[in-house]
Formats: sequence, C-alpha cells, structure tokens
Amino acid sequence: MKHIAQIVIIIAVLLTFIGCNMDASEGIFRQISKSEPIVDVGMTTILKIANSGTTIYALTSKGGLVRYDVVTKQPVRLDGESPISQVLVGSNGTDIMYTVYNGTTWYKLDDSDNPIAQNLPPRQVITTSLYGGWELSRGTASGSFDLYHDLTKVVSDLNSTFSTYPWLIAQDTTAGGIVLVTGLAADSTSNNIKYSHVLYDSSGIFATITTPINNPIVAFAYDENSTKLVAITSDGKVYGGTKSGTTFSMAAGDTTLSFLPNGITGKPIPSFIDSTGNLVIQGSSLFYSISPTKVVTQIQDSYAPSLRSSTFKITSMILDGTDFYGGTAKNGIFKVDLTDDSVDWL
Amino acid sequence: MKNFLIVLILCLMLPTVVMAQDEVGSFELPQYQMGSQMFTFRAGPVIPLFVYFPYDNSPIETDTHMKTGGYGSIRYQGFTNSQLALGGELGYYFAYSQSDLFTSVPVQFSMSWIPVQGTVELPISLGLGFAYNSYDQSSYLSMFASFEVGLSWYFTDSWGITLSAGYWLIPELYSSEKKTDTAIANTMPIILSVNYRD
Repeated sequence: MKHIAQIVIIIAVLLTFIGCNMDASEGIFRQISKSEPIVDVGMTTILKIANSGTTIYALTSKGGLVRYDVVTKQPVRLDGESPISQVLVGSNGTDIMYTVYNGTTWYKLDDSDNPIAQNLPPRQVITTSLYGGWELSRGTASGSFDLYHDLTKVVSDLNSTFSTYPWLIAQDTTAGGIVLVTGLAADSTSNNIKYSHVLYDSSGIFATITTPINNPIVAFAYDENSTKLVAITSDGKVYGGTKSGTTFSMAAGDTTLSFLPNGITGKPIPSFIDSTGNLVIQGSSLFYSISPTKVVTQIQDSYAPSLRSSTFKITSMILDGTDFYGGTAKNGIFKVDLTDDSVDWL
Repeated sequence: MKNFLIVLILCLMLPTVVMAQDEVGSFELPQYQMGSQMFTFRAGPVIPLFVYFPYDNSPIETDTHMKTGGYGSIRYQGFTNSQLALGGELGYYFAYSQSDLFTSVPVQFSMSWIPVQGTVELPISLGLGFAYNSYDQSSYLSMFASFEVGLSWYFTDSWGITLSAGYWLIPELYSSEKKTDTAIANTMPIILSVNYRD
C-alpha cells in the first residue's frame, strides 16, 4: 500500500509539470464557457444599423443580403437569392447596393428594401470598400481600373499607380469621406517589391504616403483635427505621421500587433474608430486601441476577454453611438454596449 | 396484527440464519486473489457539472455551455490481493459546446477496491492520469482525476455488467498572463461497463 501511495504521488507531481498548454491562445474551458451557437447563415458582414438598433442589414455567406429583426430574431432575405458578388454601403451610411456574379449592374435597395437595378453604364466591379461608397471597377482600356465614389467615377486609370488590384479602406470625414487605396505599386517588380498607399476623396487625391511601406495597409484612422494618420500594415507594424500638403511621411512604432488575417493576408481587417479617435481592431488575444499618435493599448474592458478571436472571429465592425456591433465568421451578430461593456448576442 | 409482525420478522431473519449456517458449514475462497485479472469495456454519457475558474470574481460557472457528452474506454486491472486491483484505462470523451466539439483522450492509472464480491459486487475506483484535450483550434495536455462507485452483476462466473457513477476533474493550469484562464472542469460520468474477470 505504501508503494502504491508513492507511485500515485510521483505520478501526480509529474503530471503537474506535464500538464501544459500546447497551443491554446485562450483556455479551452474559458472558450467553451463563452461559446455561442453557430448561426446557420455563415459569415456575417454587418452593413447598416437601423431603427435604433432593432433592425440590422447584413450580408451573410449562406443567406445572402438580409434584414434582421433583432426583436423577433427573424431574417428576411432581400436579394432575390442572387449570388452576390460585391456589396457596398453608400457614403450616407444608408444606401445599400450590390452586384451579382458575372453581372455588370448595380442594384440598390429602395425605401421598401426592394433591389432596384441602377441605370448606369455596365461595368465589372472588382472590389469595394464595403462602407463609405468606394468602388474599384474595370476601366474601358484593357487592364485598366477606375475608382468610383457613390457610383460616380472619381479617378480613372488607377492602374498607372497600382500594378494589381489594390484594396480599399474607407473612413467617414466631415468632407464626405476618404478612401485609402493600398496595393502593389505600378513599378513594383518581382525583384523589387514596392507598395503604393494613396488616400483619395471625392475630388481626387487627398494625400499620398511617401514613406516606403512595403506591405499592404489593413486598417487606418485619420484624425481631421490634428491631421495625423495612423496605419496598421499586414505584418502588424503601426505607422504614424502628420499630413503635410498632400503627403504623409510616416514612421513605424515599436509595437508589432498580432491579429488574424481577414481571409487573405493583406486584405483590410475589421476596424472602427471610437469616440476619442482611436483605431480599434480585434487582436489575436485581446482588442487593440491605437491612438492617432500610434500609442498602442490593449483593451482591458470586460467585453474584450469575452470576444477573443480564438472563440469569435470578427469579420466586420460598426460603431453606432455608444454601441459597437460585430459580425462574426460563425456566430452571427453581437452588440457591445460601451457604457457598461456588456455583450449581447443578437 | 401482532401475529403478522412476528411472521414478518421471522421471514426476514430466515435468510440470515441460512447464510450463517453456510458460513459455519463451508469455507469460501475469495472471488479474487493476487494475479486475478479484469478486462472492462466501458461507455456512457458524461454530464457537465460546473467549471471552476479560481481567478474569476464568481469562480463557479455552472452554465458551462457544454452539452452532455459521451465516453468510451477500455480498462485492464490486475489484483494485488483479494480486494485491490491496479491497472490502467484508455478512453475517449467528447462533448459539444454551443458551437464546437470538445474531445479528450484520458490515459489513467486506476485503482479499484471491491469490498463486496461475488455475483453482486461493489467496485470503488480512483483514477489519476493525464488527458489530451482538444477544442476548436486549441489543445491542452492536462491532468485527469476520477472517482467512481459502481454496482456490478455477474451473470456468469466470468462475465458481468457494471453501472457506475463518478466524478471527473480536468484541471487546466496556466501561469503569468494567462493565469486567469486557469480552470477545473467538473463532470459526472454515468458508465455502463461490460466486465470479464479471469
């Protein structure tokens, strides 16, 4: 019996050391205790919050474009079961538009949420900024592409600046919004990879980032008062700079952020700008808040541990007053009340 | 009424008298002795009870978000004396959370004490080992401890079944910045076993 007790004690001590986290970014039982049912609509991209938060418009990978009633929890499909290719919310934050696969027509939801084909010259839409009304479409010349804002062409032949299709990231401003176009530079070669990052507004070039940043920018925030720009690149570096004329000279900070790619490395990641002008993203562990002066802070508010990316992969974020809404890869939509940090799954 | 009570008491006493006569009249070998072996095939549901998060303000989380799962295992034990058996158990435990599948592969050193033996037995078991736990994209090698009480019925000399209930502990220990994720999962297995003893 004495030997048995010794064996048990030895095994217990050994296992105390063996028991270790192998690759869990968050405790397994913590993840489980926060798990939410998988919503059978697939990946959810929030487009618009309406009727004081009781109605949410969203694009879902399985259910198409839907209007979701938060009270009855009933989604209504609005796109006529057409496979949607691109979706766009206008700069007014109200208009919802989409194109279908192999289509060259924009459809816009009318006041009754019926999709109405827009009477525009047909064009092949390449990508959109999702919010803010920005769109990249093929040009008339072979290989060319143009920048549109609210379905109106702003800049032709962006291919003279970018060699391949760039990404678009929009931000609301008092002057009607800006978009950061980020992608491989036109003079980039396989031996000398270069990226271009240019901000546009509805009248053309707003400013150009002149500092060589040889990775795509995945999120940014521009502070109109201080004219400071903070940008996060796909490798997690944080750059900051101040506008001078029509250029930004940027410098990298010391902190490297860790976050999950948004499907493809280099594609813009979900972000929002909070009431104090800080850029907020979901990191691999907690959320990050980045000030216009590129000071990085990990958000410790109680909502952050409840929404770790190991449990909930956020695919879109919208700030609506003191609430922020998130669409997720598998679990539908949540709302965070920033006044008390409560998280509600809708 | 008085006569009925007397008859009832006599009826209750009769088997005791018969058994006492058996004990006096014969010498029974114990069911097990050193070298006896037992193979067990086990399966049954596992009910999540609560998760203990020691660093939380409300450390006991009864809403585990984990559904009742299932467990299957094989166990081998050899007897060191007439009542005590030592051995090991390899199992597979699965349970769904609200969204994903949790799995655990426990490997245990087990010790069973069987104070009541014969056609009907009462095994009491302790287990200690480790488990490889997986959930979504995470995995964790943890300790695993179990306690179990069962009731067995042997329908032949060698074959029997056991219904048992137990208590499992799966600790998940972290230090430094992740220590707030330290947790101990508490679950209750209800296991039906098929035993073969030799």
